[in-house]
Amino acid sequence: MNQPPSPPSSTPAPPANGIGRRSFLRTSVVLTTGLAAMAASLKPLLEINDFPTMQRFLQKYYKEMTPEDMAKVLKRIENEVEAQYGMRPHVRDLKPMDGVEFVYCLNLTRCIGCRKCVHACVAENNQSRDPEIQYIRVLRLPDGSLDIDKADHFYAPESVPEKGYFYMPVQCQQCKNPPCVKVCPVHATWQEADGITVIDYDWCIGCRYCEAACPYWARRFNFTKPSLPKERLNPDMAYLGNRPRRQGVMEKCHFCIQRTRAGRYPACLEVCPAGARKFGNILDPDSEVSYILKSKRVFIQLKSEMGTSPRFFYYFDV
Amino acid sequence: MTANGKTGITVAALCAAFSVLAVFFLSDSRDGRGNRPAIPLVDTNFLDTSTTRQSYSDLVRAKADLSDFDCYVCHEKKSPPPLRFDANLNIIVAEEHIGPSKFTKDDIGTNELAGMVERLRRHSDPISAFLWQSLSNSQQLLLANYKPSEETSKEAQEIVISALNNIITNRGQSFYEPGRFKGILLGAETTLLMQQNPTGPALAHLNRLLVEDAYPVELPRNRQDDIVMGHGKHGRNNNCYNCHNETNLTLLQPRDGRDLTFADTAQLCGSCHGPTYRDWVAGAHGRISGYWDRGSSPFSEDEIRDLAGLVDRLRHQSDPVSGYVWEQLLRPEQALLANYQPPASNSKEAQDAVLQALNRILGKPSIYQPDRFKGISLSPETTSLMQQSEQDAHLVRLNRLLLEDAFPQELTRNQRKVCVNCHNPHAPPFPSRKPAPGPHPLREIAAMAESQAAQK
Repeated sequence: MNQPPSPPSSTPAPPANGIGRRSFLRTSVVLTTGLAAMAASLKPLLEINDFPTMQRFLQKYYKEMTPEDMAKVLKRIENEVEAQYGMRPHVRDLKPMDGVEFVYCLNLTRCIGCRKCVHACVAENNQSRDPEIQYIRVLRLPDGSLDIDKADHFYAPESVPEKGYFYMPVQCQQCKNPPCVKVCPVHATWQEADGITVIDYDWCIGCRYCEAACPYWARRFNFTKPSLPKERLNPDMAYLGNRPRRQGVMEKCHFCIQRTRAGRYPACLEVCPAGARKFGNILDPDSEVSYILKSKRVFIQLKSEMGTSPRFFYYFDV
Repeated sequence: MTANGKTGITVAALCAAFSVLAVFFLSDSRDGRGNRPAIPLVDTNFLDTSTTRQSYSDLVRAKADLSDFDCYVCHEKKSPPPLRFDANLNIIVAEEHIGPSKFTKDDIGTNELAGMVERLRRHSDPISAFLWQSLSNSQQLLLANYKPSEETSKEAQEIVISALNNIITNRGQSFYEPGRFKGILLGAETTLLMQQNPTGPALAHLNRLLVEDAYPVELPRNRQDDIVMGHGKHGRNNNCYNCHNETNLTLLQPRDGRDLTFADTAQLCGSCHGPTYRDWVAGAHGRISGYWDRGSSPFSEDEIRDLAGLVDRLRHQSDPVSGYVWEQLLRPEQALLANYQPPASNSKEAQDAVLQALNRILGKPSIYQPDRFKGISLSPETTSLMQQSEQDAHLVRLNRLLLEDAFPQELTRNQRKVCVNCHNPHAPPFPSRKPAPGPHPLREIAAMAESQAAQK
C-alpha cells in the first residue's frame, strides 16, 4: 500500500549538521552576552598593578629569615619604593633592644584635643592620604564621664579645649595579651620582646580577623590602593614599621618602631603642644614612665575588663 | 504561548539584563573614586613641633639680636624702677613694656603685604570687608590691580599700614565685636587684656592684638615682649618683683631669695609650682623631643648635630671640657681631626673618631670637676643626678648628661622645653588653638561640601 505523499513543509529543512539559522543566532547572542559579562566580572583584575614579584612571592616568613635574606628583602623594598616614589628610602629592620619594654602614658588633664598627634602620626608613618588612614582617634568626652558611648570623635569646634569636655586619644594599646595576635590565621602579626605588636605586611592576607578581634578599633585595613603624595613620603623606614603598604593588608600603630627602636620618641609625642604624651622604658626605674606609674595615683587602662592588659596608660594630674 | 516561546523570551530578557550589567560594570561610572573630590592634604602647620614661645635662653643659643633685652639701656642700675598702681590696686604696665600698637613698614614685609592684599581683595570675612570699605576707590583700584613691584609695593604697603592703623586707633574704642570676630581664635594675651577693659596705649595694643589674631597667617606675631599682667587668677602675683630682682633686672629671684639667671627660669617657676617642677625634672611634665633612651646607651651618629662645630671646639681646645675630650683621642684620631675640613670626604672617619672618644669617656668615672665645668650651665637633671648618693650606679648617664651640657649646640639629645617655651609668664593661660581636621569620613564630607559650594 502506497503512503500518501507528505505535504511540503513551510520551514526550511535543517541542514545536515543539525544547526539552524535561528539556533545559531540564539546561541551566539547568549554566548556573546555571557562572554561580555565574564569579561566585566574579570575587569577588577585589570586594576591590579602590583602583582607580586617572584622575590616577594617566594619570600620567607619574617622569623625564619636569615640576615642575608633580610638584606635582600630590604634592598627589594628600597628598589620598589624608589620606582614608585622617585626617592630612595632608608629601610631598616630594627630589632628589639635588650632590657626594654615600651610603655606609653597619656595625661588626660593636659590633652587639649588639638589632633596634632593624629596628623604627625600620618606624616611619620606614610599612611594613605586618600582615603586617609589614621591610627589615632581623639575622643571627646563630657567631664566626669569615661563612658565611651558618650564619646564623639568627629568634633569640630572653632577652638580647643572646650569647656565641659576632656579629650582621650585612642590608638593601639600594645596589649600584653593581644586578642588580634591570637586570631591571625597566618601569624602575620605577633608581639615582639619590647612589647610592640607588629604586622608583616608581606605576610598579611587581609582577612581582617584581627580588626574584628581588637576591642579598641586600633587596626586599619587598606580597602583601596594607598595614595601617598611623593613630597610627603618619609624616607626613614622600618620593615615592620612605616614602609609603604599595599592594598588589602592591615596596618596599625607600632609606636613609631623606626624611631623608638633607635632610641627616639614617637612622632605623636614630639608634636603634642601640651606635653600630654609620655613614652619610655618601663624596665628603666629612672624613666619618665616609671616615675608616672610610681607617683601618679590615678591611671586607667582602657577596657581593662577585656583582660588585654594594655601597655598604654591614661592618667590625671593629682 | 508555547513553551519554546516562553523560553525564548526568558533567554532574551536575561541576555538584555546581562548586557546592561556588562555595560554598567565596564563603564567608569561604577568607580566611585572618580567622582569623589580628593581629600585635601593637611596643612603642615599641624605637623609643626616648635613651641609656642621662644625663651630668652633660646634666643641666646640662636645668637639672635638681644639688644631689646638690655634693661639698663633705659633703667638706672641699682635703682629699682618704681611701680604704679591704678585705683583697683592693679599694676599699671609702662607703655614701653606693653608691646607695640601701630604697624610700621618693618612689620609689613613682602610676604605680609602679599597676604594682606589678597585677603583685602577677596574681603570675604567681616574684618577684611570692613577694611576694604574704609579704602577710597582709588586705593581699592590700586590693590585690586596690585602686582608685586618696587613702585606698587610701596604704595600698597602704605595703604595697608594706614588701614590697619586706623583700626588700631578706632576713635579710642575697642575694635572687638562678637559678630565681627566670629570664628576667629583669640590669643591668650588678647582674651586677658580684653577682660581688663584697658584704656589709652593698652587699648591701642589690644586692637593690634585683635588685628593680629584676625590675620594669624598674614601677620604672624613674633614678639616676646608683650606684658599683659595676668599671673595668677587672684591678682596677688602681678607684682613685678615677685620674680624679678628689683636691684638687678638681669636676674630673677625665687621665693628663697637666690639669684637666678634667665636660663634658669624653670627653677624660678618651681619655687612656687613645686609639684609641677618635680614632674618636669622627672620628664613627666611639659614638652620634650629627642630621645627616650636617656640611659647608658653610647652616643650614636644621629646625636651629633654639628660635627664641624664639635671638631672645631675640640681641636682648638677652646674650653677645659674640649681639652679633656681632645686628650682622650688617640694620636691618629687627633691627626685626622686636626686636618678635618668640612665638607670633606673623611667626614665619616672624623665622626667615628669623635664618637669613639665620647663613648670612651662614658665608661670612665665621673668627669665632673668644678674647674672643668666652670661657666657651663648644668641642666636640672644633671644636678639632680649629681646629688644622688648612688651616683656610681648612674655613671654612664651622668657622664652623658655632662657632655650634653658642655656641648649643647653640637650634641643633640633630649630637648627639654622650659616653662616659658609654652607658658607666657605674664599671661599664663594656655593658648587655645584650632583643632586639626578630624577623621576620614568627616573630611570626605567636608571636601564634598566644599566642591558642591564651588560648583554653585
